[in-house]
Amino acid sequence: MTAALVNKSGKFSDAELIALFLQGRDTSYFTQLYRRYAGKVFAKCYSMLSDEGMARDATQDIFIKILGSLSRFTEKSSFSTWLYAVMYNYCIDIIRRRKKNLLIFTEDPGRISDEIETEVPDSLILDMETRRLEQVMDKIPPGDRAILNMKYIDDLSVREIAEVLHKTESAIKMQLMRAKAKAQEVYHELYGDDPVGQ
Amino acid sequence: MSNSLKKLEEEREKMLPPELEDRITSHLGSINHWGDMAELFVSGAVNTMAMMFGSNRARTAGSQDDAGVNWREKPEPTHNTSSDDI
Repeated sequence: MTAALVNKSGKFSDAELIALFLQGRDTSYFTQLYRRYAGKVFAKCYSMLSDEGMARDATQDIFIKILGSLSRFTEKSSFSTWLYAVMYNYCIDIIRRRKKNLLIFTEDPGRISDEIETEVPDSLILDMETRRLEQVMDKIPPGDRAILNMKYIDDLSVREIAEVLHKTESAIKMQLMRAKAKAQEVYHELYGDDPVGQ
Repeated sequence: MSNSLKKLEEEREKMLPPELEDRITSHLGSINHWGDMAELFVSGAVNTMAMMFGSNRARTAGSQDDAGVNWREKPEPTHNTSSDDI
C-alpha cells in the first residue's frame, strides 16, 4: 500500500521500479517507467526514422522488447542508457532492412586515410534554428544522427556511445567529427551562407 | 547555453500519441495473465513429473510423514500399556 503511494509520487529510481515490477509483477511500476521515458523514446525514434507513424510503432515495439528483457537488466549502466541503446540499435536495424544499400554512417572510419580533419564547432549544431536543424538532421545518414543525438541530447560519453554502437572509442571520435562536417555540408547545400545562429 | 537538438526533442516529446500507453498497458495485462497461467501449469507439471519418477518428497509433501512418524511400523509399546507389566 505504502509502496503504491510512494510510486505515484514518483519517488522511486528507475532501478527500484524495475526491481519492484520484477518482484510483484505490479504493472503500475512498469507504467511509471513508461511515463518517464516514452516521450523521449518517441522523439528519438522520430528523429531516427523521420516518420511519425513509424516512430509510434517503434516506440511500442521497443517498450515491449524492454519488458521482455527487463530481468536481464544489470545496473552496469543506467536504465536510460540501456533503453536508448536498445532504441538506437532497433531504429538502425529498421533503416538497414528498409533501405539495404543506404550508408548508415557518412564514411566507414576504418577506411579513412591520414587526411587532416578540421573539427566543426559544436555551435554549428547547438545554435542552429530548430526548423533548419530538423531539415539538416533528416538529410544526414542515420548513424550520424544517432551519434549526434547521443552526444548532444543524451549527454553520453564517447565510451558509452562506443558501447551502444559496438565500435571503438577512436572510431566514434572520428565519426563524431565526420557527422558534424556532414551536417555543415548539408546546411550549406540547403541554406548557402546564411548564418547558423537563431 | 542553447541546445537546438534538445529543443527539437522537447517539441517531439509532446507529439507522443496518448493511446500508446493503453496499448502497452493491455500488453502488460496479457503478459501478467500468461505469467499466472504458466506459473499454475508449470508448477503443476513439475509436481506431476516428480511424482511419476517416484520422488517421495513430492508424493508426501504436506502429509503426515512430515511429522516424523512412520505409519508403516508398529509403534513401540509404552510403559503404561505394556502387557509385561500386567
